[in-house]
Formats: sequence, structure tokens, C-alpha cells
Amino acid sequence: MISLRSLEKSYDTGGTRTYVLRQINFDVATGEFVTIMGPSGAGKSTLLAILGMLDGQWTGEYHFLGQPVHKLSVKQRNELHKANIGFVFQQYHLIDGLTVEENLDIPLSYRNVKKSERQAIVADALDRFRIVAKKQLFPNQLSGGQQQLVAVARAVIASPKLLLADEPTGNLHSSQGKEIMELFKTLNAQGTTIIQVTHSETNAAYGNRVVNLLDGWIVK
Amino acid sequence: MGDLRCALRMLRKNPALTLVAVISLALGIGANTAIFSWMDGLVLHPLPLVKQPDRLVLLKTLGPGGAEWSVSYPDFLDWRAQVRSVSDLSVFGSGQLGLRTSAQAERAWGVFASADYFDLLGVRPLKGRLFNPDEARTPGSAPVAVISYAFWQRKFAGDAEIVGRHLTLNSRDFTVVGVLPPKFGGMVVGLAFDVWVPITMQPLLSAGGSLDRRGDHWLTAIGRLKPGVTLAEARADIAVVQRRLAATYDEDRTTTALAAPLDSEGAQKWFRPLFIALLGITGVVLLVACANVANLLLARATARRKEMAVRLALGAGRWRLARQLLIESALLAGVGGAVGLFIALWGRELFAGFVPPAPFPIELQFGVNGRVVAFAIVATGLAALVFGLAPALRASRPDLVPALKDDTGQRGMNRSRLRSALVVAQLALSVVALAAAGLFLRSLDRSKAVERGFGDPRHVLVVSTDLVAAGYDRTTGTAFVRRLMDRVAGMPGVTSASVSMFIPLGFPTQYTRGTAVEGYQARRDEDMSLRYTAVGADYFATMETPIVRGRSITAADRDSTLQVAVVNETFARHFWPGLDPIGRRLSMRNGEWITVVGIAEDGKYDALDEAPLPFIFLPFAQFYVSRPNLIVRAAGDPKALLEPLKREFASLDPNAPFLDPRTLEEHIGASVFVQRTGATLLGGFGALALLMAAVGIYGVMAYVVSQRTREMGIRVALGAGRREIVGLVLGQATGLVGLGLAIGVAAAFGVGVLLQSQLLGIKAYDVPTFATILVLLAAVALLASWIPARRAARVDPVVALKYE
Repeated sequence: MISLRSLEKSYDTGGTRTYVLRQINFDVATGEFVTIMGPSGAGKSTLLAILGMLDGQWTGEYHFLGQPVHKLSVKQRNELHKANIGFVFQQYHLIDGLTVEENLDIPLSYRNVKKSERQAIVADALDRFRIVAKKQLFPNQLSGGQQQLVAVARAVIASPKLLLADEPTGNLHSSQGKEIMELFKTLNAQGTTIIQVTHSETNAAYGNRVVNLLDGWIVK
Repeated sequence: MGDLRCALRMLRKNPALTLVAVISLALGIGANTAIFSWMDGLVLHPLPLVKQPDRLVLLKTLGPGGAEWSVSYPDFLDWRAQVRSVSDLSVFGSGQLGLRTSAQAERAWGVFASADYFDLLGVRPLKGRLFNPDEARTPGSAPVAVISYAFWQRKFAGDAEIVGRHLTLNSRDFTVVGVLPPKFGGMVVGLAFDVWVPITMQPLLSAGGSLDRRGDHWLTAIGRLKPGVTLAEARADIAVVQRRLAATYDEDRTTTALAAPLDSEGAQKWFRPLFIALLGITGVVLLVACANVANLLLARATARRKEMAVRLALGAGRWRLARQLLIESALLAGVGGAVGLFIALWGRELFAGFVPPAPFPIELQFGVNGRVVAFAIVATGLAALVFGLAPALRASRPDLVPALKDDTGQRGMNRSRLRSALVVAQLALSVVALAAAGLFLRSLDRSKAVERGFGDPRHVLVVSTDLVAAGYDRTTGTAFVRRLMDRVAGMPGVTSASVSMFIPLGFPTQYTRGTAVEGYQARRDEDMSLRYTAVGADYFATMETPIVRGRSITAADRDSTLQVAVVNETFARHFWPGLDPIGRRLSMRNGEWITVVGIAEDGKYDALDEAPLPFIFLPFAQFYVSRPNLIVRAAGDPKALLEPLKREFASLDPNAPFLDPRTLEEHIGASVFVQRTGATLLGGFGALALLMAAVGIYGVMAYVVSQRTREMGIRVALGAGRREIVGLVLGQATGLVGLGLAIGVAAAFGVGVLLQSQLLGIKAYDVPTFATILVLLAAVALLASWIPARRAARVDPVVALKYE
């Protein structure tokens, strides 16, 4: 599914070049559940943003589902991202002014799904994630765990092939974190490829492979 | 002092904000102050040297049907003897006088006044004396003159020995006995006269009407109400006196009389509604400016939340914080107000630029005085409160904990709502300003389509002259005019030329004469004082006024031939309905019958919106007037004829004054003066309001985008493309714009109804005007939103998702 070759990301900091990622060579097969680990500043979130095609400023080669991302225009990259990738963030990033139901509807609305179909899909997701009772509530009326549950539901509602999660349990207490990780495991078992960034060994244990990053390099 | 220093530092620290705020406020306060200074000078306090002008009343004769007439001298003498409600009663008339100071004849604007004129007004001389009571007794016995300060400076270079010097007016010698103080130019608001002579000298000057004919209405009577007497009591009093005169004198048989406030006519009457409308619109502009500044300050308040929270946490009281912010607002307003005052100074020239050329001594005596400065100060203070209070109260109440943690939270949303409300208000106010401007513009446009009864005015040149000043009498004057017309008609580039006493659609000068129409029995309440003019041969060809029946006036119509007239269609229709008017007769009170030989097409004479009125054209050769206007129709640009014409005048008679040259188009500018001034000024203010509203909506949308950066990042991460993000921002802007426009349209309808009396040929709800304005405003507002929307679409999700 994913193939990175000699991928590098750097910034020009007043005449000197500061590298965030160096010579990343990395493959992910469909159906894998990969964990990226490493200390703060190792480049984990940057790598995740590149994989999620939110960041286009890098060098090297990136193939996604056979498509050469490094050769695609911004528009083509956005289309590829829209069609295949879902995101879960540490800070949940629900939109404050929208209800749970409306938050779930956003990814579908950007994928030109008809309104009647969207309603059915949202209703199904609310049911599947057992949050029907919360559908009219606003994010600030939910607990952290509930918010992240909605965020995961939102991330998978458009049936992405790849789910990227950046510290998904970082703001949750352990029981809520466990619930989210169990959910990831279920989604993975149902066929969704997952790449997560975490500091937690416990969470890493839910995946089937760990990639360690240190100062921008992949270390064995 | 500490707060002031801090405020100054804050303003220096944000130069862009300070500059935008000061410019917005300066334009808003300046526009209001300029309009107020015009209103003060022309409507509120136009006669600064007159004692208690609110106790002065105009006494008028009313003709049949309530037509307002001037006053005859014999009636005035009777009023002075019999009216008890006024302590003093004076009368004056005005006109051009031929002034000779050297070889060249010039024109002076003269006032013939009764001896108690200056005492009644409470005006004191700057030098010498004014009139003595005995100077009003015997006609021709007092050849004395009082001159204006400006005339003294202009003609006598401020000669300290002016008292006792001599003047030649209409070939008569006068002794200057006094000089009036500056700022007194007479009792006609907007005009400044040069010289005052006792009314008893008028018969010797062959100017104006007569002193002995009771039917000759040409004077203005002013009285001062006795203490405790009301206007209503004065009205009753003068009405009783005039009833007595009506019963006694045949000339007064159909008249009554009326007392009216001094400001009920002339410039005060014409300009009051215009200035009120303009003040309303500039008030709107100032409100829009205040909304803009309030928005800027709210944005800055957001940026200073942490500073305010720290100050509160360190023990500052909320009032103390609000006070500091209010001082900053007052400083901004103060600088804006000071700059605005300079703009108001410039406004005097602006207004003067609107005044069309006119055969009158127009003098606009307004500028910046104590009242105007006071107005500017009050406007500045109110503006500071309007734009400063809400941001000050908001900023002094931050939620400490989130503010200290830099968390925008719910209060950010509240601020956004307040700012959105301000933008809605700005847009609504802009609709009002632009709609008012648009209605005036459309009205002006419509006025061009009104059938005026003459041809293209752009190719006609009008020049006035004064035959009395040049020393002509009826016989020599008639011959001079005939020679002049012949010479001018033969000039290269001239299509035709003529003369006329009256030129239509200028500043109001109505020549009427009591008229009897053969075979017509006037109703008892019918005003038979009919409008007329004396015209030379070729008048109708020169003006391109069609003769619809009969013939026009020709060079063959001489003093010795049959007395003839051309009347207009309304005259013929009204007095001889269904009959052939050619060969029928009318009489204009000298007992001689005048035979109608032609019917001219109807026209507009005083105003474009007037009802059709009967009009009589008499041959100049049979009805001599001493101040004719030469009318020249040119094949090309009439202004090119100016110098050759001047030479022609000089070669015929170097003493014949060449006065007030103007194109007919410039002359008739007076008939649309109010509409043109209104359209131009309101259009300017409307554009200003629109510009400010555009800045306002840009500011709010930019603020909204900055507040929603994180949300934009999330949306991009969830798959939103640029189009979706732009659509999201524009959608929010469209909501605000739609609401603002809807409220504005409702308010503008109300304003349109108020302006209806000033609009020519259009309704207050003129659909094309409103449609154009709505499209324009919507386009500008959405364009202003487009810039922040594009910025939102370029949000880098990686950065945005880290943004709190």
C-alpha cells in the first residue's frame, strides 16, 4: 500500500538546513497495523502528516496504492487523500460549532455523497459506535473519551483504506484509551490499514509492527 | 497622565490601526462638520449681526388664491401706521445700479431701504452713520449712501476718509455717509449687496418699482414683534389692517396679508431639507466609521486579552482598565476630529463649486466659527463613546484563566458576533446612504428628459447688460439693442441672436403683471398677476421654442405698430378654451389692448416640476426693459464667442456693461441646483460609506478566518478542497451581507419617503435604483470577503492543527 524511498524533509534555518526526516525507506502492506514510536522531536508526527498527504514539502519517493505521490499535483494529491485516508488526532479536533451528527457528516459532504445517502451512513455510524444518544450534543458537552470516539467515527465514516492516528489516546485516561485501541483493533480486523504514532508501549502492542524514529532516522 | 502616556504609546505601537481609525473618523467628523457649517451659515444663523432675528417677521401681501406677493410702498406706509403688533416696520427693495467710479461703467448691487431699516435690524455702522429718519420723508431729498465693508475694501481700498466721498449711481451723485461692518451684506440670505440708499431716492434712480402705485408690489417688509406678541397675533393684526385697505382701495380689493417667520423663504427654505438630508447621510457615514473603528478596537482587544488579564490579576480594577481604553478612544477621536475640522474648512470651497453662475451677488458667509467648532467637539465626543465604549467594556472583562492560557474559547465567539452585528449595521447604513444618493442621481437624470420648451441649452450664450447704467433711456436704449442684435446676428459662428428680460429656469426671478383677458371673467379668488417677458425679434428661433400657431415676434413689431403678444399654449387653453386665440386681446393694466398674434409651445419657467402656467411674450420694442439679457445661439461652442461678443459690445458702446456671461446650460443649472448638489454630495458620501463598509466586512471576515484557522485545518485534513473552504467563508459573509442589505433596504425606503419632495419624476421606491445598489453592495461586500476566504483556503493544515 505504502512505499517510501529516500524520503527527506528539512527546513532552511537561516542558511543552515535542519533535517526533520532523513533517508526514510519504509513499506506498509494493506491490512497492517503499524506503530511509529520515538522520543519527542523524532519526526513522528511529520512522517504521519506526509503519509496523510497534508504535507507536500519533502523530497524522495512516495508511492501510495501504486500512485507516485511525489509526482502528483496538489489537487491530485488532495483527491487521493480524500478518497483513501482518515485521520484521528490527539486533540480530537472536532468542530466546536457543530453537533456530533454534523461533525460526522463533514467528510461525506466533501466526497460528494448525496444527502440522503449521507444521512443513512451517519445514522449507521452513530449506531455502530453507540453514540446515537449523543448525536445532537456539541463537542464541549462530551467527555474526552466520547469526543475521541466521535473523532474515530468521523475518521472512518467515509470508509478509508488507511487510518492515521496521531497519539489517539494521549489526552485520555487509561480505560478510555483502552476502549479506543480496542476499536482500532476491530477496524484493522475488518480490513482498515492503520498507522498510529504513540509513546505508549501498551498501545503499540495492539499493532503488528513497530517503526522507531530517532532524530529523523529510522532506527532498528 | 499615566493613562494618557500609555494611550499615546499604544497608538504609536499600532500605526496601521491608528491611521485607519483616524482617517475613518476624520472623514466622518469632517463631513458632518462641513455640512453643519453650511447649515449654520445658510439656515441656522445666516444673519450674524442682526439683533434677535427670531423676533423678526416678514409681512406679505397675499393675492387671490393665496399667491404670495411682494409689498407696495403705499401699503407699507399704511401698515406702518396701523399695525400694532410690531414695534418697528421697515421695507426694502433691491436691484442693480450703474456705478461710475472712473471712465468705465460698472455694476453695483443696491438696496433701497426705509430710514429705520438699520435701527430695526440693530446693525451699527463701522464708520460714519446710517440713515436719519428725515432722509425717508421727501422723495429725492437725501442723496446719501451707506456701503458694505467688502465694497469699501474693493472699490475704495479701505480709504480711511471714505465718509464724505462721492459715488455716481445711475448717473446720480451720492455722498457716502457710512460703512457697514463686515459680515453684513443685507437681509437676503446668500446674497451680499454693495450699497444702501434711502428708498425715497428710488424714483430718481429709475430702478425697481414705484413708490406711489399701490398695485406695484416690489418690496420686502420686515417687522419686529413687540415683546410678548406671538406670530399668530401678528397674523391676525396684519390681516385686519389689510381687510381695511382692501375695503378702501381698489388695487387692494382682492388682497389679504400675512406675517411669516424670517426663515420661511429664500435660501433658508430651499436649503433646509437638503441640509437635513445631508446631515442624516453624513451621520450615517460617521456611524459607519465608528463601526469600523469599533471593529478594529475589538480585534485589538482580542490581541490584548492577555495584557488585560495580567493587569487584572495584578490588581487593576475593571473601571481602571476601561478608563485607559476609553482614553485611547478619546485620543483617536480627538485626532480624527481635529483633522475633520480642516476638512470642514475645505468644505466651503466645495459648496461654492456647486453654485451655478447667476446674475446675483451670491456670497456664502459660512466657515468655521465657535458653533461649528462646538459641533465638531460634540460629534467627536459622541463618536468616541459610540466606537470606544463597547470595546472598552469587552476588553476590561476578560475571563482570567483562559485568557492567561491564550485560549480563545467562547468569548471569541461572542466578539465575533458583536463584530458581525457591527458589519450588518454598516452594510444597512451604507444601503441607506447609497439609496439616497442613487435616488438623487436618478432624479437628476430624469430632469434632463423633462420637456423644457426650448432647444439644446449647450449652444446658447446669455449675457446681461444694464442700459440705465450705460446712460440710455427708452428711445436710445431700444435703438442700442436693435443695433446690438443686428451686429451679433451677423457675427461668424452665430446662428441667431435676440434679447429677453427673463431667461427661464434660473434662480427665481418672477416678473408678473396684473392682466385682464378679453372675454374672460376671472374668479374672485383667481390670481390674475400673470408671468411675462419682453423679447426681441428672433427670440423663439434663438431659444428654439416652436410657435405652434400664428407668428412669432419680429423686427417689424415696433413701438409705433399694433401692440402684440405671443402667449403660450396653457394661456390659450385656460383663458380661451375651444376658441381661436389669434386676434384676441389682453391688457396689462395700462389700459391698452394687446393683440395675440401667436401661440408658443409650453415650457418650464421656474422649476422643472412646476405645473403648466400661462405665459406672455411681449415685443421688446413695445415693452422696453432697461436690463435685457442678450441670447446668442452658436453653431459650435458658445464660449468661443465670448471675446468677440465682448469686443462687439465695446465697439458699440464702451460704457455698456458686459455682465454675467454664461451658457444657457449653466444658467438652468439653478433649476436642478438642489438635485445636483444632493446627488453629488450624497453620491460622494455614499461611496465613502461603501468603502468603509467594505473595509469593515473585510476586517470581520479576516477576523473570523483567523478565529477559525484550526477548524479550516481540520476540514482540510478531513478532505475539504479550496473550493469548499472558500465557499464556507463566503457563505458566512453572504449571511451577514444578506441581513445587512435587507435591513438597509427597509430603512432606505423610509428615507426615500422623506426625500420624496426633492425627487423629480421618480418614486421613493425606485426599483432600478435599489436593484443597482443591492447588486453593487453585494458585489463589493463579497469581494471584500473573497480576500480572507482565499487566505483561509491556503491554510496549511499541519500548522493549523497545532494552532490554538
